[in-house]
Amino acid sequence: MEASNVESIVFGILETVSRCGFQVRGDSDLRNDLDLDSLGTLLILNELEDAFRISLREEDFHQVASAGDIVEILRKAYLGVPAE
Amino acid sequence: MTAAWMQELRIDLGLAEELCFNPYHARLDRGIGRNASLSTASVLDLASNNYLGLADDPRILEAAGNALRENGMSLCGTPIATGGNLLFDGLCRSLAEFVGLERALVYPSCYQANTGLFSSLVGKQDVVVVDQFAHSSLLQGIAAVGCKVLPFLHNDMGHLQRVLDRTRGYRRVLVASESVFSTRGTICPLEEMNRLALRYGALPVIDDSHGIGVLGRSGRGILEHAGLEGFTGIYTASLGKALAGQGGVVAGSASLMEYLSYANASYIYSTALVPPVLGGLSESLRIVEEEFQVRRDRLIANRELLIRAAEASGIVVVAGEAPIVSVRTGSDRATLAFAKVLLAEGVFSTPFLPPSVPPNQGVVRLIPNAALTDEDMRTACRAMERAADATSEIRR
Repeated sequence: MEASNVESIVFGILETVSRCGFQVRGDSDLRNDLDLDSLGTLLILNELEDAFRISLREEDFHQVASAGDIVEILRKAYLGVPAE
Repeated sequence: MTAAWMQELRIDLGLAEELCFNPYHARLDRGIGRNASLSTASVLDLASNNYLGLADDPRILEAAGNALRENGMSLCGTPIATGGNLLFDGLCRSLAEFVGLERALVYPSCYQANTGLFSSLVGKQDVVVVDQFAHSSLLQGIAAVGCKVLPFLHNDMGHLQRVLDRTRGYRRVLVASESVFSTRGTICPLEEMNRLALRYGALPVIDDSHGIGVLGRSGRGILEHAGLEGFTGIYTASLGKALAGQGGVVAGSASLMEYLSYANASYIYSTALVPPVLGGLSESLRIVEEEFQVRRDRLIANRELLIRAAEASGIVVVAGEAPIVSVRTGSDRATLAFAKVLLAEGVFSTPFLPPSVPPNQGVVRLIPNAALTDEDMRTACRAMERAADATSEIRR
């Protein structure tokens, strides 16, 4: 899988779950731009597990602030996809 | 010497101080009816959950007084010990019959019922599927168990089904939601949620706190509203909203309630509701059975007036089918500012800020209860327009 595919899947899930009505970018802030609370973030993680068929550790995502942070953690810690 | 970490236990009230307005912990001079008397003025009550206007009904007050005289102030015990009496059992039976389930247990509060319920039902090897906007009491109860939590998109039954597909392999599966979402007024499609839960062998749990005494043809709540007979899940509700009392109810099959009556710590380790509350609630149920239609019609008419006034003023309201009108104010500042102007114009409302709502999704909730008159509603509509004038960023 290529890094751009990971980004595209993550951003798509964020757009669907947050119902933000705009195109999510790497610097989209989960709280301030996407209005996600802790349960919303948990919902995102469950959707990611489903999409990538992987099991995520919630504690790995406690510090994430932006959409790009999620992509980075997934890419490095779970998918082994190098940055483009 | 005070521990250093005690310095961290502080609430940031900076915005409230800047706006010279803190709507929380408002202190009323007395009880509520049409009006709420604050130290500053008498204002219209569109803040409380007194949907049917029963909070100061003289018949309920008399029943509460009679129960007090006949049974004393308290039975000074938990329901499993000395806390139950004929009045207690009578209310449990009346509630079970009212909502159409086999047996009901009365708890000191619905919050306590919801936070404690899950510990008697599931453990770490189980999963609870829950609506993303479910009430804090459900979420905290689920989180305390340490089980897997799978949220589903608000009221989205297609997404619920996809989430349920992921629950295979877990020992027990619960699906939890609320009937009426109290900051939005949306209603859970319970018939479909129940059907999906049963298909996946899951136990549905529904919190009907804002539905009991409000939804359904005769006010019996979400089960009546959804046309569900023989509901095999767990039903919970607050008795301190439309029924104008206090406490909570958990209802379901006789066997499950028997189990909870011995196994649920929230039930067996807390002093039972006191006689005046039990007596008042019994009378409240009787009044709802007799007068629901008239009171509901008034409630719905008041809701329509508010929604029309909001739309005419260019205010965005979040209004589902339930008699709740929430003005979408967004930021914390706009939310507090809007509520402040409403109060200055004589209307008591409830502003919701995070974490009660997601970030930047603040709302000011108005419940136009059945006791409010036409003149009251005109006042409320005018107040809303003025609040919108003063908080222009909330206009569409």
